[in-house]
Amino acid sequence: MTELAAAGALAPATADADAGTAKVLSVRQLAWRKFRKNRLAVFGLVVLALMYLSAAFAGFLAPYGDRETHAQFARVGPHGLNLVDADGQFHLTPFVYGLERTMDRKTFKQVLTVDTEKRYELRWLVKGAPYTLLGFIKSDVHLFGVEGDGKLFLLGTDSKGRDLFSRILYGAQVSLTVGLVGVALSLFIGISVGLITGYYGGWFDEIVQRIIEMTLAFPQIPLWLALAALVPPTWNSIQIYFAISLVLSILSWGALARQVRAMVLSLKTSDFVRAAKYANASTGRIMFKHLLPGTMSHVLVVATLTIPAMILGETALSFLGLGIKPPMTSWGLLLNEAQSVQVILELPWLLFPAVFVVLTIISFNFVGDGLRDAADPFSR
Amino acid sequence: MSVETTPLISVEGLVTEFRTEGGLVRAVNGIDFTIPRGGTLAVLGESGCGKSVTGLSLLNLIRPPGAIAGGRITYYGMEGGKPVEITSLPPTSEAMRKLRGSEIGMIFQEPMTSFDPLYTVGEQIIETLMAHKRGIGRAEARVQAIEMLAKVRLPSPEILVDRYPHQLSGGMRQRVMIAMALSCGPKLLIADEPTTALDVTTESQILDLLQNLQQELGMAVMFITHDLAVASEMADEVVVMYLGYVVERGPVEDVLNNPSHPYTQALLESVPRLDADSKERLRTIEGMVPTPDQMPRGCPFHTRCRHFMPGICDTALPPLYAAGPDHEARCVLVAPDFAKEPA
Amino acid sequence: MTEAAPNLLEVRGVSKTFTLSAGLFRRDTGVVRALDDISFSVPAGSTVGLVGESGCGKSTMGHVIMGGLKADAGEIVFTDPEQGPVNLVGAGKQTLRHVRLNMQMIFQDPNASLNPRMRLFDLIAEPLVINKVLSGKALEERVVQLLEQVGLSPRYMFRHPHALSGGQRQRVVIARALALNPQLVVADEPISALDVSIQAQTLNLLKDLQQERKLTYLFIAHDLGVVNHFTDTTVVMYLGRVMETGVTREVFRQPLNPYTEALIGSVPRIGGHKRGRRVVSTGEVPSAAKPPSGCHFHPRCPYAQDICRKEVPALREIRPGRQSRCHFAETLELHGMTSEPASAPVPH
Repeated sequence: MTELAAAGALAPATADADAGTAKVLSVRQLAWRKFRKNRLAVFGLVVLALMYLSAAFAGFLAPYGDRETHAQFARVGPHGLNLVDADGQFHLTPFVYGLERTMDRKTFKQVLTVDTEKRYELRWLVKGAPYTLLGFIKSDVHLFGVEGDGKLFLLGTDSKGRDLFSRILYGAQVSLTVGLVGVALSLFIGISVGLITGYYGGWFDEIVQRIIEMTLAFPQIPLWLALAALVPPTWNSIQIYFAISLVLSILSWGALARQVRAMVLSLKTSDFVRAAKYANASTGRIMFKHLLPGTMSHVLVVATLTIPAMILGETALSFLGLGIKPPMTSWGLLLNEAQSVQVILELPWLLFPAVFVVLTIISFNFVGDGLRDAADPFSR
Repeated sequence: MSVETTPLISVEGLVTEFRTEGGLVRAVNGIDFTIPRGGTLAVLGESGCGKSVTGLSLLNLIRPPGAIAGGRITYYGMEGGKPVEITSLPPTSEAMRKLRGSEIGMIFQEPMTSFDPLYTVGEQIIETLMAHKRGIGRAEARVQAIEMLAKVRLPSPEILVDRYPHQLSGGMRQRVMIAMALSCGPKLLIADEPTTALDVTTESQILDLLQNLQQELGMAVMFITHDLAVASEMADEVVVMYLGYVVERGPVEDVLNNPSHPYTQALLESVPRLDADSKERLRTIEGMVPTPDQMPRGCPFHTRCRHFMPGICDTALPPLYAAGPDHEARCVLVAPDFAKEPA
Repeated sequence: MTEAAPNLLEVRGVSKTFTLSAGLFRRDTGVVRALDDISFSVPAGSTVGLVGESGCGKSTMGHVIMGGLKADAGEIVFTDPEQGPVNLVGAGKQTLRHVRLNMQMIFQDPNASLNPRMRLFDLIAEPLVINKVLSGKALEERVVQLLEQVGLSPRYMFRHPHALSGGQRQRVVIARALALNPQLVVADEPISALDVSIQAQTLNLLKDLQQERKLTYLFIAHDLGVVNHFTDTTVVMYLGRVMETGVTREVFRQPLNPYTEALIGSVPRIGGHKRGRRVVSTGEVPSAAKPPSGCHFHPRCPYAQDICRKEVPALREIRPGRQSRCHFAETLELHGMTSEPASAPVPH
């Protein structure tokens, strides 16, 4: 069967020492090629890139501030852009209609009316609520908005009159990063434990394996709930943010450690590790120069597939009120408002953050799949 | 040798191609040979020469991205003597599946990957029997399976029949594979490097077994190997392949005692022999096998040939010239009108 | 040649046992005596072949010598040029590290013995870097020199192994083994994974290097033809025991052990067309975990007697320079390899 492989695989070998110019790709280039072949993975990567960029520039992209309230316009449905006005006329520049809340004299109820007489055109680079970008750039220019009394609620407002679209952008900052911090922690613990137990084995390995098995057997969500509930409510937002990261990573380092350990076990007896030993390589050198790089591709895949779980975890915790606390926003916290059936029926647009959660998770999964293919660029 | 009697199988101008990232690769480049009934042919060459692909082509087992692109394979062994053109049958057709196993069998180099680890070896032989022999019941099939295991000289076949592949040693698995391949009494056995992965004492036993079975069953064998000594011991005729071409062909003694193609000569000189006396440097073949995207023009071997003649060897592919009775070599040095220079 | 040269390496009575364990609490389920009282010597400048079939322990012996595995008993004496004779068994880490500067290994599978993520330059330079022998410009020059010595263009220095063919990769493995200028090279099946025509090139290279650098080889192989061509003396192993030793040509022409006879008789020969095969051995190589009693070879030996089953024969010197582990080594008339003129190709 080697012939089929030889005929099919076209290994990029050169004929002999003097043949010269055959194009040979490095391992990284081969891996990227493989990744690119997976259309879904590329799609996922693009979506994620867009999301993270949006989160980073949330202040600029959001029409309104994070906590900016429009008291009169609470619980308003999506009030967005139109191109054609009530008279059937097409306008090049999108616009929003006027919005008014008036009290109906007869029923004493608040009534929302759309005033098609008033039109507010979409403007670019408008001045709005001040914000801080990336921690140090202060500005009050927003990418787009409407001026004057015009209101642009692309996805509606919540019960306090805050623009949902803007809040989703701000919420992305927390939702998309808390998973990363958690995974970074997991990676650190998982790789260290995996390397040591895989290389040395023995009774230490046995004990650690049993511990990992216990952590994996634990039901994730109940444990998260319990641990989250332990977080003192007096802590401020930032402290809680890191506490939640810690909680999320407590259970996931185990899978990573096992993955790393398995790779170390198989690589440990490789001839190239033996060759390094016979050249007097120290244990540290063997671990970090020979064993670890061999595991990195797999570790990366596991990590990429762990992030969605963390995002979901944070979303779930915040949804239940046990996670991120205001003034920080996260998608889960936004969903917190949509807890009762009544709310969902009356204000269904409050479920929009869920769409973003799903989109993020799917994208991470696609990327993870693509990485798994790329991790072994020599496989067929 | 076989002008009057029809051969068992004949291959004419076989071309097998593979579609790869770098383009279309011809693994087999127009080869011809025949195998007489009950005869043994060795297909000799190193990796990349196309010998394994040839074996698979004979069984019409080439699947996309590969395909048989030209030539004809004709099998004459059917009951009633009607020739079957294998190349015209779709690979997955009923007719082809009938051929495989009952008319042509195959054994491979690595027995472990040919077995399903979840079933006993007996089960796998029984499955083969029931698929090919009409009307045979399970009980009867089991009896025949045990008989086959005994035929390949396995100890305690009635116990072994219920063992799993991983419970057997490499040599035993190879014997089971032979038993499976022979269970339906094929007239031709294609053996693809069957002993390469075995210890030399086991190899010797398997080769001996194959020779005996061949005599007993009147079976023809196509032996695919890179080992000149194995080819020498087992075959009547040998076909030497290089880069998908036949470069030399003939009775095995003629070819190995009087190698006429520079590649065969070089191969013989480069193999360290147990019966050699001198410890002089081995004469080696310069350079390496060209990659599929660098197929040489003209003679495929000219890039490494000691006797390379610019203008002659790199322009046109030499045809097979006669080097002796039934002995041919694809080299202009063998052409009858070629003025031989003193060596 | 054998008497005059001092022994660079002497293996005396080395044994190594692996315990098999299974189950939750790691119960010991069996014992594999991978090496059982192995003794042989390697004279300086010579090539000693270690030959045998699977399970005989030849690879294990190689790794025990290199210090990758620990011997349970016996001595391995390496005569270091500066420190004099050093026993590697039970040697401290420091001693081992020092000896390794003089002793290196060539592995069988070039795909497995070169870290695919490292560049060739780093792979060859690694022993020099780890042992702080050279750095900077001098290091680079040395790597270029090594590459050229094994016949590879320095242009490949910054490529990765996958850019080379199998034969070229093996040359890199050889270059790496020579980086520290060792005196002893343990070659563990160095050509088995290569194509036939490349094997010859690599063997020639190894021979040339031996002459240029005055190397001593311990050549571990299973191919008798290669061993016959390449080695001066041979040690035949079976299931962890030495069965026979002696000058290679003599061992193969006139074996003194039935196992050696069986090996020789089993090798296919060019020119052996359809002659009656002499299958001298029956059965298969037994599992190393359950070796037969007494002489390991007795169940397959055509000359076996009662005593062979009961008593382990000792490794005795039958003739000067020839040892055999067989009760009947003196009396048996065994068949060896003979040259057959018909098999030699007619020169062109």
